[in-house]
Amino acid sequence: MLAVVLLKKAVFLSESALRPQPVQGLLATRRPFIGAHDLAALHHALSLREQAAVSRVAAITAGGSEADVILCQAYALGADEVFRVPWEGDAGLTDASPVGRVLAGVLAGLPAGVVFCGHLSPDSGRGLVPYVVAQSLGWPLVTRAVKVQMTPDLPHLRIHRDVGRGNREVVECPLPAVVTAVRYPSGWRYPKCARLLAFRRRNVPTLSPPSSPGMPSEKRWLADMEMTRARPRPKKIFTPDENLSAAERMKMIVSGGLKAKKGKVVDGSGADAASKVYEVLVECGYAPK
Amino acid sequence: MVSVGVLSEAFCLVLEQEAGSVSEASLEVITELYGRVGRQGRPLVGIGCGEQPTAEFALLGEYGLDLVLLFPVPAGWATVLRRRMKTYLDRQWPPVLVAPATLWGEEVVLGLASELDVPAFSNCMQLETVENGAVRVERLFYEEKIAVRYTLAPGSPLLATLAVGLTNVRRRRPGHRAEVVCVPDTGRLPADPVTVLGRIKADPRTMDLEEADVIVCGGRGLGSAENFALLAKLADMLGAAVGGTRVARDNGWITAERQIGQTGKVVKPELLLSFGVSGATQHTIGLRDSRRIVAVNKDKNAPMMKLADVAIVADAREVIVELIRRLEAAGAGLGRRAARQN
Amino acid sequence: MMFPRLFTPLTIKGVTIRNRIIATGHLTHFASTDGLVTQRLIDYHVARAKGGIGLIITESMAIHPSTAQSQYTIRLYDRQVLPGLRELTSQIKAYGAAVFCQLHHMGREMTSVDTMRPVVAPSALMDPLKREVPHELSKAEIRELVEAYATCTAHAREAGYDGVEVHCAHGYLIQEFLSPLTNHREDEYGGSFEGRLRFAREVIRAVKGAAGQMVVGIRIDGDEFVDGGLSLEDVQEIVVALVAEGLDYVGLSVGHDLNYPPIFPSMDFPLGCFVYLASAIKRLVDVPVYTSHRINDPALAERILEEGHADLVAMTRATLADPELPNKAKEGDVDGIRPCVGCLQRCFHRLRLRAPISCLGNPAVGREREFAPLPASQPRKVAVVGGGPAGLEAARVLALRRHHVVLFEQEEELGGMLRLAARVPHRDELMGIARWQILQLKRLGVEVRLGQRASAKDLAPFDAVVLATGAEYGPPSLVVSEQVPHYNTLEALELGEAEVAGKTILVVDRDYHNKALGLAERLAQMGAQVVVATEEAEVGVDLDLVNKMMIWERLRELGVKSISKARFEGANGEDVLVVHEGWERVLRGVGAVVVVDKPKANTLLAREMESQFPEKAVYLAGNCAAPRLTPEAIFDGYRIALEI
Ligand SMILES: Cc1cc2nc3c(=O)[nH]c(=O)nc-3n(C[C@H](O)[C@H](O)[C@H](O)COP(=O)(O)OP(=O)(O)OC[C@H]3O[C@@H](n4cnc5c(N)ncnc54)[C@H](O)[C@@H]3O)c2cc1C
Ligand SMILES: Cc1cc2nc3c(=O)[nH]c(=O)nc-3n(C[C@H](O)[C@H](O)[C@H](O)COP(=O)(O)O)c2cc1C
Ligand code: SF4
Repeated sequence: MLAVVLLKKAVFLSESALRPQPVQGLLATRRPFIGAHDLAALHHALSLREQAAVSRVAAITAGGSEADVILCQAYALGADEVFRVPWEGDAGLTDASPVGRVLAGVLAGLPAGVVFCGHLSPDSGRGLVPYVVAQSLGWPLVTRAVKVQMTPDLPHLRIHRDVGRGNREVVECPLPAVVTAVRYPSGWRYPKCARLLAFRRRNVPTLSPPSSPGMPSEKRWLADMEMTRARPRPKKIFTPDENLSAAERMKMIVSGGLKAKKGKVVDGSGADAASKVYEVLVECGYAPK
Repeated sequence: MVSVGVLSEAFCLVLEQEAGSVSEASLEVITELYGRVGRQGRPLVGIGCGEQPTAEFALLGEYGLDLVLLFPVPAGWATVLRRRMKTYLDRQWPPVLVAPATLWGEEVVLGLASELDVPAFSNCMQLETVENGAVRVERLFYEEKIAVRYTLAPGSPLLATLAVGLTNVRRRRPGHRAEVVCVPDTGRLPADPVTVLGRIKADPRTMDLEEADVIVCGGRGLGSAENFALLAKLADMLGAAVGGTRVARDNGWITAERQIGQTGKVVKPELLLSFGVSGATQHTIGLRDSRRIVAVNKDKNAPMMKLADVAIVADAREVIVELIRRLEAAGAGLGRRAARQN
Repeated sequence: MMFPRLFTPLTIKGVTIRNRIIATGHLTHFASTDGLVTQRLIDYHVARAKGGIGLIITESMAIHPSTAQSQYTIRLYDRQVLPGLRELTSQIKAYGAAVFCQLHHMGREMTSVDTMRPVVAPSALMDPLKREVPHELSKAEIRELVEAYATCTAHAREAGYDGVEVHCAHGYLIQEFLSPLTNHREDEYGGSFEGRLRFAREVIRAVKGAAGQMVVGIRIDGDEFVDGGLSLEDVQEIVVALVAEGLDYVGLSVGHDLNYPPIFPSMDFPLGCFVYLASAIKRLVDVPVYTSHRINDPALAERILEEGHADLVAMTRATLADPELPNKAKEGDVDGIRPCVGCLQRCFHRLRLRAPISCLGNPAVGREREFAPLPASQPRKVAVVGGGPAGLEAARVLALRRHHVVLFEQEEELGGMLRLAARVPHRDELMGIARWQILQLKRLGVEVRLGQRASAKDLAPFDAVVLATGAEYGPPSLVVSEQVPHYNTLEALELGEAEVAGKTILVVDRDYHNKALGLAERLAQMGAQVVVATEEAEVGVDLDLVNKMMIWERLRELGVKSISKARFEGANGEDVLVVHEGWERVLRGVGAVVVVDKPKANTLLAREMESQFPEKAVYLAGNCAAPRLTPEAIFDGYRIALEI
């Protein structure tokens, strides 16, 4: 079985803090790299191969030949094959869904049993591609994987998902499926020098969807698109309610927004006091009755 | 059935529900949208999961909702809700449908977008309507260095998730109630191929304090490293994380990343047990958002005691020892065991 | 780096500020009596610039002869000040900090003692704190003032400033025009929103016109906190309108004479409690925004930047207390930063006393030259007796100067009487200074002998001895009624709930600082009915205005009453007769009396030393020399440590 990893050529803008620039100048400082989530996706695919759950790992990216650097890295990190899907559109700012559908078209023609991709790319981070791929292929989608294993008896994947606050959800998913990965798991993989050199001598094969349907751009939904330097919005912050009087607002500020609660006050020795705490623990479900 | 007119005019938002109530993130989105919608005179419609039109949903009127549509779907089932919504809204697709940019909101909105083949904009900073009534969203690219503003073409539906943690939640219409309408069940849906086997709680010893659900916190009143070891043992048995005050850090009883307060971590646990903490504001502001606080202190007048739901005047050490004894007797240590499976 | 955002430079209109830490304008009273720059003022700012601060906004300067905060106000309208200012700015810039000038007219929030001219304002409405009825400005006078702003901008430019800040905050002239509370004019400078904005607009245009390449910004109150005054939403509107005039930055502040305490927030205010004002403005404007007030910790500053509430963080008193704060933060040496504890005892309060500022924890403020702790030429063995603020400071500075120091403390814990001071409600932050001193002693490796009461014999082997044995509270100096128990300050601090709840307690203030008020609060919290009385004109006469206003706010809620100018003329059991300016009043059912006296210096050991080792170099520091407060104790310790 083949595991496919969809990689994106992400870019970061390497601007010096001392010389802020207007948007165009800033965009000119682009450097390509593979995002952490994408690396995690590659890692999961490779570790399935190491568990002998899949036989080969192919890395695919969509874009022009400038995206080959990404494939080079994937190859050096251990991908068996790499392919580029020629693509002119702008997957970052607008064309997430068309690129998703093109990739799905290519995948339909491969013997892929599982497709991995990063949950979000670090530069655009819209997160739409995996949804579109899964939808187009009609495969189930599992997002935010942090650990992926093949179940021993069935051709199913057992996946740990990051569901926030450090908690995980364990799910089982039949194959074929699309899996998105978050954060790089433990154990870095290092690119192998020999493979880097080997890559140099190769031409990157390209793959096109069998029937190129000419994906309409997302731009048709838009009237206008304007780019400026970002002005991140402040996070929310405790603000006294403006419907209150000035004195009440001041009081809220001085108290730090902390309201004295009219809680129960219990006087007692160690044992008594502990029973009270224990009651609360039971009530909240943190201790047995 | 809600009149077609309302929905095809409305700004809709998917309400995220957590532990039985509408999440803070959803309230933020309502507040944010209400500011925009109020001016445009469009109705604001919430989409929730539930079988009964409860008062809680009606109360969302205070924040700005006009109508709540309840789908008979268990809360948290994004895929099922998505399908139900798709069938129900098919003929009267609202011009704007947003959700908070949380795990759940993302699954609903991005999933819907891929099914409908329309673009979706995740984690938007801002949503506004411009002069001719067109909708505009702003989101950030390239590690928040560049902002892109998309103005939608007339007639294009907007699907978006809005960044959370940016808007101060406000009740702008005190006393107002939203109408709550239950959507009838529309038959069986195909089973989800992905099956959930269970959950693994985060390991409280290694997790970030800011994410912990239960925290035990110690202060000067605990007095020694030995007592902090006892506190750690209690935490272990409860599956709680250990936190402390600056005094505790100064004395080396805890490490810096376990300090709670303005110059340490800002926490928001479900339950916080505070032992021997006097409660200087620099500390207490860091735990303002705790849902439930139990404070144990010898001094009844310590400010910490006034913030507690249950304030216990006793020697902190004695209480900890006794609690450990009881938990041991009751065969607890559940939290710990769950964490170890990890 | 621990605080990456804090140390990311920011460029405003060609001026690069090397990090995000700034000092907002603060009057120092270091200028000469005729308003000229002194070496002392230069040294003060140079120390801060050396300490790594990004931007210094120097003190508010008078733009016109009709305004003066005190006789030490720099008169920017007078060309005589320019050579001094040029020296000041060039020295600050030589150490890498940017420097802006604050243009200031006080409007009605001043008295005419220094100007000898009528106080001026948009309307002839009396200021409640300064109590002078101002002259209502005519249009010609308004024009003259607008021109004065432009002239002074040109002066600032000539003096080498990187920018100017138009002071629109703190209820001064421009805010008086903006606010409907103080602007009752019926001409085009009043009335509508636009009318009230007109003066500010004209000033900013004039300043922009004269500023050339300089940065032009404003400082404005984010909320007047007076009903009927400007609310945050009004200020948002004003700022957006003014930014459209081409401002390069906006600074947020708060507080004015109708709501005084927040200008100089004491430790009653939580850290960073006014950041939300900047955040609300930052949402609306593209230019950089700074926030200020009670930000004394780089971790907090970093969080403010991280959450995007502001672009620059003012740490004014924080860098007053420790000029090296930015350098230390950059190196991650957080524990090395001497904190500003928000006491106001030596910065704000000394301004009110018309004295040059200093700092509770930092005696070197304004004495940067004489008080530099140079290494001792001859390291000596020095004993310090007493682990209160005086002893701790002496030991710290002695050790810094490479003397061999041993500190004796009879208790098991360091901190001395400050530990008690911190037990008074809302005063716990005072202990912050002792905490810092103790951390420094640890790092300097000073030998601390806890639980050891030093005797003259113990001190014999040392070359020099610093006695910082503090002071003691004796029996109450006053008996109001024989039948009622009387307690001194220490005993009163130990009283438990069982002993006070439900009782009427009379607290007599003979200390005149915060202790009687603080004890009253503590007792009232425990459920006592408290009456504070004093023979003076007011309870806590010597306490600074802000702390006094803040504590009374809470005491009123607790139902505490006070009697000033009180004479106790007799008692009958629990009934006490008090006379106040001829009025007689019987306080019934007084269950206890607390007499808050000044403590008596503990000179036991000093006398012992004198009789047994008359030759030995013995120095007295802090309360054991004369009973005073913490800043005096620390000052003594520091001064003596430099002398040895
Ligand atoms: C209730 C209260 C509130 C206060 N509030 C304020 C306030 O708001 N602001 C302010 O500035 N000040 C305040 N003070 C005053 C302040 O605490 C003192 O001014 C300050 O602590 C004096 O410092 P010191 O080092 O001179 O003496 P102390 O702090 O008294 O230290 C003397 C130390 O010497 C030790 N000692 C004495 N004899 C020996 C010996 N033979 N051998 C070894 N050790 C010995 C003592 O145990 C003690 O620790 C307050 C005081 C009280 C009681
Ligand atoms: C001694 C002193 C003098 C001050 N003088 C001025 C002043 O001249 N102009 C001004 O705008 N603010 C003045 N302030 C207010 C400060 O700029 C600042 O807003 C205030 O100290 C709160 O900020 P902080 O907590 O960072 O110190 C002064 C404050 C102090 C303590
Ligand atoms: S005197 Fe007090 S308030 Fe003023 S700077 Fe020093 S510590 Fe801060």
